[in-house]
Amino acid sequence: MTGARTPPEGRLPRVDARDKVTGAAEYTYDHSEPGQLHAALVCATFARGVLRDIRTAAAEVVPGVRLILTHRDTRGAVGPGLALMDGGQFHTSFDPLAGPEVRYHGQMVALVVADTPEQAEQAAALVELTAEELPAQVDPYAADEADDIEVFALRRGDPAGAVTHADLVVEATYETAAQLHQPIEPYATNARWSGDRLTVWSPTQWVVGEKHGLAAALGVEPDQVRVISRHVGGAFGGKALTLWHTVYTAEAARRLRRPVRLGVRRGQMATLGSFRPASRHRVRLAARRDGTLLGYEHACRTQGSRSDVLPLGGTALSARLYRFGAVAVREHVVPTDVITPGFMRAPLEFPTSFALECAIDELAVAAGLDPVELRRLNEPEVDPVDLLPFSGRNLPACLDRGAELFGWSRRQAPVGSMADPRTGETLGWGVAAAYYPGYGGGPTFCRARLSGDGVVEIALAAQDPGTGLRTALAQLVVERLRADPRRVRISLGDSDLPLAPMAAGSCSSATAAAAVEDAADRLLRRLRDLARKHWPGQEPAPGQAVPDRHRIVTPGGTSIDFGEIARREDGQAVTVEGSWIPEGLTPGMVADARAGRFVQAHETTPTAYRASYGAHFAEVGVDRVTGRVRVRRMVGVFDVGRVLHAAMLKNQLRGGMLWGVGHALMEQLHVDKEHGRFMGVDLGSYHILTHADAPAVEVELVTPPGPHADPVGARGAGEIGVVGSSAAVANAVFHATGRRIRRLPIRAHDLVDQ
Amino acid sequence: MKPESAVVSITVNGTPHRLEADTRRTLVDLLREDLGLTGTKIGCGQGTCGACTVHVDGVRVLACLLLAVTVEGGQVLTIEGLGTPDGGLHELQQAFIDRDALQCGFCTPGQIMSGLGCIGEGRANTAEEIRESMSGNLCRCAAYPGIVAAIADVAEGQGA
Repeated sequence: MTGARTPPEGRLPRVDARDKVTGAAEYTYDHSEPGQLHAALVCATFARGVLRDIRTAAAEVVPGVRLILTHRDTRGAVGPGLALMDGGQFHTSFDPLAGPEVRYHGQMVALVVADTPEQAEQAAALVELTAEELPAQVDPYAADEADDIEVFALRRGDPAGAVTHADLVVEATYETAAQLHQPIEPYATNARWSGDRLTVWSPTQWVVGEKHGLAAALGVEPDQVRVISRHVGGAFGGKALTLWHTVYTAEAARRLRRPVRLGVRRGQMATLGSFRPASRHRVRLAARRDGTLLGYEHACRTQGSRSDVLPLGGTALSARLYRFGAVAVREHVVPTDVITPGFMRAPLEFPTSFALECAIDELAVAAGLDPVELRRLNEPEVDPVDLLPFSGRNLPACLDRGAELFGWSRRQAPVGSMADPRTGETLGWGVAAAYYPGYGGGPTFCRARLSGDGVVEIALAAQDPGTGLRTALAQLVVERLRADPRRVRISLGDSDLPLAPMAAGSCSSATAAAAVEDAADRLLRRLRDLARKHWPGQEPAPGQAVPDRHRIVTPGGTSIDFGEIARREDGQAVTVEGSWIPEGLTPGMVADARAGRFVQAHETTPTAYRASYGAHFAEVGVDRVTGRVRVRRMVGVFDVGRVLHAAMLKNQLRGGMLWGVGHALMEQLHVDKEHGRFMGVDLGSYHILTHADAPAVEVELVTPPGPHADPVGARGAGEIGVVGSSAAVANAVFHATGRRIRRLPIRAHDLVDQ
Repeated sequence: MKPESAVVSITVNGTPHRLEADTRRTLVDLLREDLGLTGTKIGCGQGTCGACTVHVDGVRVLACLLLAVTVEGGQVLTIEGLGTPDGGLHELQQAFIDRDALQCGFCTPGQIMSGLGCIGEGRANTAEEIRESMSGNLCRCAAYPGIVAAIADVAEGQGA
C-alpha cells in the first residue's frame, strides 16, 4: 500500500474516496436483498392521448414474470403525491399510473416484475399499447403565447423611460436549450417490506422528503418508512424530489411480499424525472455613453408542463447584479406536453445569467469599454431591489484577481485580432460574472456520539452526492475537537438519522456544518465536565481543559484519551445533540420541516442581501474553416464565504465551470416535432463534455467573511460554477469571430459562412 | 421465446468460476449479479459512458456490451482485483485519492480500469494523449483535470 501522501491543500483527503476507488461504496443498484425480484418499466411510445388497451398476455407468459402493474391495477392503491411547489415532496403531481391518460412521450405506463432483470426486460418489451392519440406540442416557441402563465414580475423605477434618454441601448433575444442532468448513475430503486415497515434504497438528495413522500403515496405513516441513500452517483438537482417509479417499485414489493429492485435504463431517464427547460429571454439594457447603466428590462419565457407550474426564471436574482438604475422583469411559463421540468444545477441562475452577461458584453462593445471595466463601473453600493446592504459582495475582487490570473491585460480588444499560429485558430477571450443567492438552509439537527473505542460519530440525515460534505464535516470535527481523523466517522444518507435538509440551493454544507459545529462544541464541553468528574485530582478550571490529538489535557498536565473518558461513563458512550435553526425560520417552519416539507431560509434577511459572487474568464480557439470551437483554458475566481475544505470546493467549482462549457457548446435536447417528443436522450446522442473537451481550469477563492453570514459563514459552491460560465464562452466566441451567438448551444454552423 | 442458458467458465480476479448463465446476460451483470462484484457500474448499458470498463485478457473492454457467454475461458480483471491481497491500494487508486480525481465516485472504477489500460497501452505520454485515450469514460461531475493528473502521475512513475 502506498502511504497516505499530503492531501491537496494540506487538509483531509476525501473521506469516502477509498471506498469509491475500490468499488466498495454501495450505490442503490449495488444493494441486493435475499429473494430480490427485478423490475423493468414500460414507457409510452406516443406523445399524448388516452390508453385504450394495454395488452399484457404475451408478457405474462414470459418465464419468471411475477407482476405487471398498470393503471388498471393501481387505482386507489396509491394516493396522490404533492409536488414540491404545493408543499409536498414529489417532482410532479401527475401520477403516471393514476389512469389511462398519457401526457407526454416516454411516460411510465407499466412496471413489470420478474425473477431476473433479463426476464423483466423481455416481458416489458412485449407489453403492447393501444391508444387514442392527440396532438402534442413539445416546442415552447411554437406554443401559443396566450397560454403563457405569468409567474413573476418586478419593477423598480422606469427602465422603459430610461431608454428614451439613453445614449446606448442593447436589445436582444437569447435562448438556452432544454437539457438533461445525465448523472452517470441512472435512477434506481430498491424496496423491501418487513411486515408493515418499508425500507427503500434510493439515490436522493433528500432522504427526509423521500420518506414522507413515499409514506403519503403508499398510505402508511412516515414512521413506517426508512430511506437510505448513502452514496449517490451524481444528482445535480435531478434526484432532489420523489419520482413515481420509486413509489411503484415499493408498491410492487408490497404486493409480492418480496424485495424488488428497479434499474432505470438510460434512455428512460429523460421522461421519468426532471430536466432543465428551454428558455427564451428578451433583454434591453439602457446606458449612458460612458457605460453607466440606466435601465434593465428582462422578460423570459420558460418551458413548463401541463401538470405543474414551476417558476424557474431567476430575474429576481439577476436584477441585483449591477447598479441598473431602473429595473423591470417579467417571467412566464409556457405549458407544453412534456414531463414537468425541474431543478438542474443553478436552475434559476444559469439561463438568466447567460442572457444578462451576454447583453452586458454587447453593451461593453457598444460603449467601447473593456467588459471587466464596464462591470466594475456599475458596481452597486446596496442591493438594487430592496436597498439592503450586501453581505460580503466581492465581485470586483473576483474580477480583478481573475483578470490577473488570466493575463487579461494582454487582451487585444479588436475582434479576431488574436490567433494561435501553432494551431491556426483564431482566439477569443471572454469574461462573465457569476452569482448565486446565499440561501440560509433549513433546520438541521445532528448527533455526536463518542464510544468507548474513542470513535466520534457524527450522524445526520444529510446527503453527500459527491459534494464533499462528508469530508468537510470530518475536517470541521477534526479541527474543532483536535480529533484524530482516523477516529472520526460521518454518517449521512439515512432518514432514521436526525433531521437535515435536502442537498440543494448550495446551502446544505453550510447548514450541516453549523449543526455539527454546535454538536462538536457540546461534546467538548461534556468531555471537559467528565474529565473533571472522573479525574478529580486533576480538576481543571472550567474552560481550561484543552483538547489535543483526540485527548483532553488538564491544567495539571494529565492527558486523557477521548475513548478513556467515554469508558469511565457507565453507558460506554457519550452522546450529545447539536442543532442549527437558520435565522428567520419560525417554530412552525421547523415543524413543517419535521413533517417532510421543504423549508429553506431566504437569501434576503431583514438586514442584508446574501449572495456569492465570482468571475469567469475563458479562452476559445475557433477554426474559421470548420467553425469548430474549442475552449482552451478557463480561470474562475469566486467568493463563497468561509471555506470549510478548499479542495472539495474547488473540485465542485471546476466541475460547474466545465458544465458551463458543455452547456455552451454541446448540450441540447432536440425536439422531434413529428412525434411530439425529445429525441436523442441517451448518452450516445446527448453530448456531455468528455476528457478531450475539457480545458485546463484554474480556480481561486477570495475569502473575506461577510458581516451578515451565519456562524459557519460558508455559502456553498455546488452551483455558482455554472452561472456565467457559458456566457464567458459565448463572449469569447464573439471576440474571436465577431459573431454574436445568442442561442445555446453554439454550433459550428453558426460560425461558418453558408 | 424460451430463454436459454449456457455454462460459462471464466476467471475473475484470479479466481476461476463455472457458472450457468442466461445467454442474454451481459458480462457486467454476471460480475454484479452472479459474483457480487458491484464495483463495476452500469451507467448506460449501451457502451457510451465507460462506467463498466473492466479488462478481459489484459485489454480494457465495456462489460455492458459483452454477453457473458462470449467471454468463455477469459481472464477478467475488475476494480476489486486491483491492489494487494492485504487490502492495500493500487498506485492508480492512491493517485485518484491524492488528486481528488472524483466527486460522486460512480464513474471512478471505470475511469481507473480505463486509466490502467491507457497507461499499459503506452498512451499516457502527455496530458493531451491521456485525454484522447480516456474520452470513452464520461464523468458528469467533470472531475476530468484530476483524473488526467492521477493517470499522468502513475505513468510518469513508471517511466512511461
